[in-house]
Amino acid sequence: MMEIVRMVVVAFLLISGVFFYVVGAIGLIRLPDVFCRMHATTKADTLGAGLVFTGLIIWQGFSFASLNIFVVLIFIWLTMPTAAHAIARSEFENHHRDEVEEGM
Amino acid sequence: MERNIRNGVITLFFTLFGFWFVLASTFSIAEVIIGVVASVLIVVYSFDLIFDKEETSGHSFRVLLRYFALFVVLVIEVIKANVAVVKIVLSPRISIKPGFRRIRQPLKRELNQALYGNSITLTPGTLAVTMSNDSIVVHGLTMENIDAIEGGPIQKAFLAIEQEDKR
Amino acid sequence: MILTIVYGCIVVLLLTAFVSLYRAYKGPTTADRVVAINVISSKVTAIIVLVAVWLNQSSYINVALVYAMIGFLSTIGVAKYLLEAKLK
Repeated sequence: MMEIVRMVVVAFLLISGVFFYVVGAIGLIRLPDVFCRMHATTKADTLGAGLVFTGLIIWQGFSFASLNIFVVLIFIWLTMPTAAHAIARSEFENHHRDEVEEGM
Repeated sequence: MERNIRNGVITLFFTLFGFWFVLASTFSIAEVIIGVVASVLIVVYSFDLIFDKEETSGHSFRVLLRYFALFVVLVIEVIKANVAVVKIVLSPRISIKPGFRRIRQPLKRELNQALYGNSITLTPGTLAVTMSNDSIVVHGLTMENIDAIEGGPIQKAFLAIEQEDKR
Repeated sequence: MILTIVYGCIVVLLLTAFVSLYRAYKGPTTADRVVAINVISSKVTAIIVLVAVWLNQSSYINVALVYAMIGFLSTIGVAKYLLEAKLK
């Protein structure tokens, strides 16, 4: 019984993670400009990686393989927003400097 | 040795050794000894490159608990943000009014500032573009999303961390 | 049964990577292309981990870690280059 519940949880996590990856790719194609596309891809890819890797960790149980997957997961959660920030900053400084609305 | 320097040395050593141990994926004595020697050498020769004196000020257990609370809040916010993205992307007509706005940024320590920028990128409808010591430029899918940052749960969690740090 | 789902996930992720390649080909600005390449590299990282689990070869996961590091560094490098060189 426990085994069946675990398998259902793993299947749910894997399928929903891949669903978010697909939504990120659709957003990359559909949305109108660079910054909006970055919104979709960064959030969807971060959560998609989190769900897929968590599912794999639960499936493998506690072993060195799942520890390695956990390291990859931490790396992706730290670097996806940073990469998006770097691209956004270069695009902003080059083309959109004077569109800022002061709200301080 | 000063207390915060000692805490920094211990944190750095265990982080490096844990990373080595996970990547080596074995319990054999030789690998573990090589890992310990390499971690000690890195700590001795490049400690001053990795940790600043001010940045190691508060590595106490209480602050770690606050960071954990921040992580829980962040996961909830990421799920909300993704539901919003799914709604926008899969609706037949895309209705958004994107724009930039410069808002205040209340944090002092550099580690917290970097994590704050990353967290803003992961909250619903906002993207951190560029930041300085007292302000941050945010791109939002709608302007209401940018208004929700000030006083929102992420900012509260970060302010709690800085409060705990000062004490 | 989970192995079948893992196999399906690999196929779907490969198709999405090809869909993202359209933006890298078409994208009006350079930043569009960089975003598309970043998305493809994150998808390929997930594909490598899934293949490692599918084939039961745990050492392939380290390949995924190195691939993620290279993708991140190349993204940062291109962004820095765009920022300093003021490419139009």
